[in-house]
Amino acid sequence: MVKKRGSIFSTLKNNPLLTLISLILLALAIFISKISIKKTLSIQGIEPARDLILTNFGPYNFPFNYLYLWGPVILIFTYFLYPVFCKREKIFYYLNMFSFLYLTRAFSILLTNLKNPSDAIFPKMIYFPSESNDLLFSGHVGLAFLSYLMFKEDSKIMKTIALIATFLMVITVLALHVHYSIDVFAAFFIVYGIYKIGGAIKIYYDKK
Amino acid sequence: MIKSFIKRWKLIIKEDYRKFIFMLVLLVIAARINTLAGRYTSSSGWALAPDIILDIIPAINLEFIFVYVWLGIIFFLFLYTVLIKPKKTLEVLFHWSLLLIVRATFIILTHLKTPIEAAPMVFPTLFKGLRFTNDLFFSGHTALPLVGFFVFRESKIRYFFLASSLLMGFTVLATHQHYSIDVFAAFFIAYGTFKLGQHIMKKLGWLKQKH
Repeated sequence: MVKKRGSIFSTLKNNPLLTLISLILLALAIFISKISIKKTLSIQGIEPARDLILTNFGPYNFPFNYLYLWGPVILIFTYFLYPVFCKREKIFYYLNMFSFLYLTRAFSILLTNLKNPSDAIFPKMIYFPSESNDLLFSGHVGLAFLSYLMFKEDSKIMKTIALIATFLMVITVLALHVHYSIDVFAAFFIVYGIYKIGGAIKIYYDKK
Repeated sequence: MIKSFIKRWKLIIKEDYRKFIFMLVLLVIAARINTLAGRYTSSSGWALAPDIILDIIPAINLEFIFVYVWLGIIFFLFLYTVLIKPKKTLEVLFHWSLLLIVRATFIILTHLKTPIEAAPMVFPTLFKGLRFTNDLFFSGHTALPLVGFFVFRESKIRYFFLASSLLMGFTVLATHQHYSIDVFAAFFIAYGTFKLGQHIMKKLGWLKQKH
C-alpha cells in the first residue's frame, strides 16, 4: 500500500520502488507508442475502408479540430491532477493504468493496418505526427473512457465530467473522420478489459 | 438417470417458462440479425489491409478445425449446459444472443474484406447459413467459446473453453480468415459483452447465484 502524507514529492520519495516502476512503465508507454505510430505510417493500408457511420456523417472541421487537439491535453491534466490533489494514495494506480492503456494501444495499432478514411481532417499536433495511421483503437476515446472508469470509483462529479468527455471524444473523432467507427466502439471494450486486468493486478499486489 | 434428468428439466421449465420463451425469442432474433448482417457484409467487402501476423505466416488449410471442431465446441458447450448444468442454460443462451447482436452491429459498421489468400471453407449443408464472407471484426470463432469460459468460471471445464477459444483464434489466423485485430479484440469484446449481459440479467432478476 502507498504511504500517504505530505506533498506529492514526499509520496514519491516514500515509495521509491513504486515510483521507479511507474516512471519506467510510463516512459516505455510513451516511447513505444511513438515508435508504433511511426511504424503504422510506414506500413499504411492498401485502401480506405467504407464505414456506415462515416458515409452518413461529416466530415466536419470546426469545433471538432479544437476538441481533437485540446481534449486529450485537458483529459491528461485532469487525469493526473485529480489523484495528486484528491486521491494521493491512488497516484501510482492512475499512473500505471495510463501506461497500461497506451502500451496496449501501441501493440494493437501495429496488428492490422487499415488506411485512414480518405476524407479525414487531421488537426496539427505538437508531439505526435499530425497525420497518423494508428486506427484501432481510438486513443482519444480510450483515455476519456479510462478516466470515467477510474473516477467512477472516487467521485460522482468527476465521473460525470469524464462521461461527457467520452461522448465528446466519440463525436469528435467520428466528425473529423480520423477513425473508423469500429475503432471507436472497440475502444470501450478494450479499455474496460484493461481496467479490469489492471484492477486485478493491483488487488494481487496490495494483498502481497 | 434419464427420468431424473427429465424431472429436473420439467421443474426448471415450470419455474422459469416465461424466461425460456423470452430467451428463445431473443436467440431467434439475434440469429436473424446476425444472418442479415452476414449477408450484408458478404455483398459489401471493401478494404484489404496489411497485417503483421498474416504477412509472416502463410495461409494453411485447416478446414476441419475451422468448420467441424468449431461446431463441435459450440455443440459441446450447449450439451454440457443442458445436461450437466441445466440451471445455466438461460445464462449461456442469453450471453450467446447478446454476443451475436454485438457482433452483427460491429461487422456492419466498417467494411473490410476477407484476405485474398484465405483458404475457402465449406460448411456442411445443414450449417451453410452460418457461412458468410467479410464478416471480420470481431472473430465469432474466438468469442463464442469464451462464453463457456466466463459462465463456468468456477468450474475446471473453463480451461477447456479457454483453450478452445485460443485454438480457434490460432485457426482463423492460420487460415487467414480473419485479421489479427479481429482475434485480439474478440477477447475484450466477449468479456465486455459478458459483463454487460450479467448486468442486464441482474437487473431482470435472472441471476440468483453469487457472481
